[in-house]
Amino acid sequence: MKINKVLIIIAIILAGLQVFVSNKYNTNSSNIAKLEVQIKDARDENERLETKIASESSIMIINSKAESMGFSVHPPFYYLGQPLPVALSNSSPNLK
Amino acid sequence: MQRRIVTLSLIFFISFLLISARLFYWQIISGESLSAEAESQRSDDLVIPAKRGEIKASDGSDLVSNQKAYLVYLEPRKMKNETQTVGSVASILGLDVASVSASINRGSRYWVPIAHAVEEVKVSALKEKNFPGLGFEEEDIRYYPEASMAAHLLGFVGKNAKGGDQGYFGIEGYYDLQLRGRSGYLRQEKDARGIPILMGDQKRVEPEDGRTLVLNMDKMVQFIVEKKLAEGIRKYGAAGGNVTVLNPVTGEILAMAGYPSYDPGYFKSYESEIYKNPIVADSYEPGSTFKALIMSSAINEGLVTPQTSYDEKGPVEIGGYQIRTWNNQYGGKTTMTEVLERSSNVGMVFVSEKLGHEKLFKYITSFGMGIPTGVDLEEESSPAIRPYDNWYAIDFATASFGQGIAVTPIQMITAVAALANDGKLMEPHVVKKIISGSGKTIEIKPKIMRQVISPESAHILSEMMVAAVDHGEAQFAKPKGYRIAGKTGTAQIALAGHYDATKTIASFVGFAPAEKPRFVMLVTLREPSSSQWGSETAAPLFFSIARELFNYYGISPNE
Repeated sequence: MKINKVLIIIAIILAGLQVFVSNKYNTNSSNIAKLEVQIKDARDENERLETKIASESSIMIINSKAESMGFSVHPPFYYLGQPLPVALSNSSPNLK
Repeated sequence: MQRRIVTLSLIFFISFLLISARLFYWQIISGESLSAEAESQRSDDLVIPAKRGEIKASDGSDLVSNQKAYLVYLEPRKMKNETQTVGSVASILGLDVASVSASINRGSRYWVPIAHAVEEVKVSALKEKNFPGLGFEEEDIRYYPEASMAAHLLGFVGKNAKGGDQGYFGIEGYYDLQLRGRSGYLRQEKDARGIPILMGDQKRVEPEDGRTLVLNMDKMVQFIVEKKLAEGIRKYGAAGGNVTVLNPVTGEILAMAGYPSYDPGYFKSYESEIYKNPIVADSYEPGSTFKALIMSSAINEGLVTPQTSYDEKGPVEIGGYQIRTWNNQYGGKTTMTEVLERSSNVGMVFVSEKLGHEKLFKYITSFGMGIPTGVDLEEESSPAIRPYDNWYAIDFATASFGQGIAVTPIQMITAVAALANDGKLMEPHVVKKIISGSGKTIEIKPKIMRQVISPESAHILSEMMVAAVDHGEAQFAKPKGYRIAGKTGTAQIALAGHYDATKTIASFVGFAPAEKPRFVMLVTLREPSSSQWGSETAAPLFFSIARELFNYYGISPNE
């Protein structure tokens, strides 16, 4: 008899808990929907930034910007076929 | 009383029958469709599209990525002021008002797509107008940070018959399935406001994004090659041209550029004839560049050495045809090295006779002519080589100096790369590695097709090609101090069964530094107008690119 009463009480508590949890979850779903929108916005923003970085670091863009800033293509390279008689100082400068 | 009870019972019975019939109709006949309708009202079915894989250069920088764009559509039945809506939409999207108006008035349409791949800026402008019946749907489009760079190598993404994305040509076409990925799926219950019910049924299959491809292509080398090719086309007044650079040891394609080219982001604005990569899809007669391959075959067979000489007295006659040298001058006693230096057709006939028909044919096929190279580009094709039995004596003679035989530029450079790689023929390859969404990487290893000639023969031929550059017609343009192995070529273009003497394909193929090649390069110019000769057009362009590559790779002169 006593066990029956305990079981009934537990059943009532569980039913109440179910109502509470369902209610809470259902309230949360709108929050989750908002979070999903925020995640999507953040991903879109990331994609936009990645595209911008790719565009800004493009070799074509860098080349045209360099030209507009007055940089020119490197001058011809000169190679020394044989070591030249360069006079070097006996005492090296202190590089510390 | 009894009658009223009977009537009432009858009414009850008929009502029961009617209700049963209605229930039968709802549950048995229309049960399935009504259930589906109810399901669709309370659940959301969404396809989660997979992102198409990106394509990166060898340094990991983006060559092709994805960008958000929109499909703009109209729902004519929801529109309130048609003239104003259509006018604004057409003006912002840069469309013709009449064509937009016609498309929405064609029949009684509920939903009319107006424009694909519309940029965000334009969509924002349209959203501000807040027109009823105007809608937007997100879609990914390809983004090319380097614009038209390497267009022939990359290919482009268009639509297939079902309206889905599909890669065409180049890498996009060849690796379409790898790049495409697999779409996901989401089914979830929602409430009256359309918000998902967490406690409800939910089924989610995650999309599998397309794989990322990392190419062997060096962006800097590609940039140099494209810039120089454009300059060369202008300088020599050519109708077209192409340049290929590859690593002879691995077969990695470092750069590939063709002219005329197109912008893959706006491929519809160009003639479809230029979509195909001419380096893998177009054939040409290689002319004198082919002499290096035939000479190496004879050396490999031990039939000639660089010092072997013959007496060059004048034209030779084969099968009723006379074969002359390109300048109709004959040098008397001529060594094999001098045959390459002077690019003597008569000398090559001597070599082909030494080699014999069977061996000559065997080496041509062994160097890969008549067979696709296996390069990972969709549109590769190979001109057929006639069966051995259909060759006449004159065919063997002309083939020895690269006329009467058609090859693709990729076949030619792959064969010459074997000379620079101890005689090993490598499979040319564009993709270096494939990276899946989970980060798993598949490395594409270099693939040796076969050993065509011995390493010793390859070294001998390299030295002969160095001599051909140092003492040949193009020596004036060679960068001083570098040992470059190379060969010029000038082939007439066959038109309607005969050769047009005024139209040529000028080419130069070579590798450097000769003792330890870092790159092998083929330059071809179609119908150059400043001079028809390869030594005066393609060779200077080759050396001009080589100079830049020496600087880029930090290769100093060693002569």
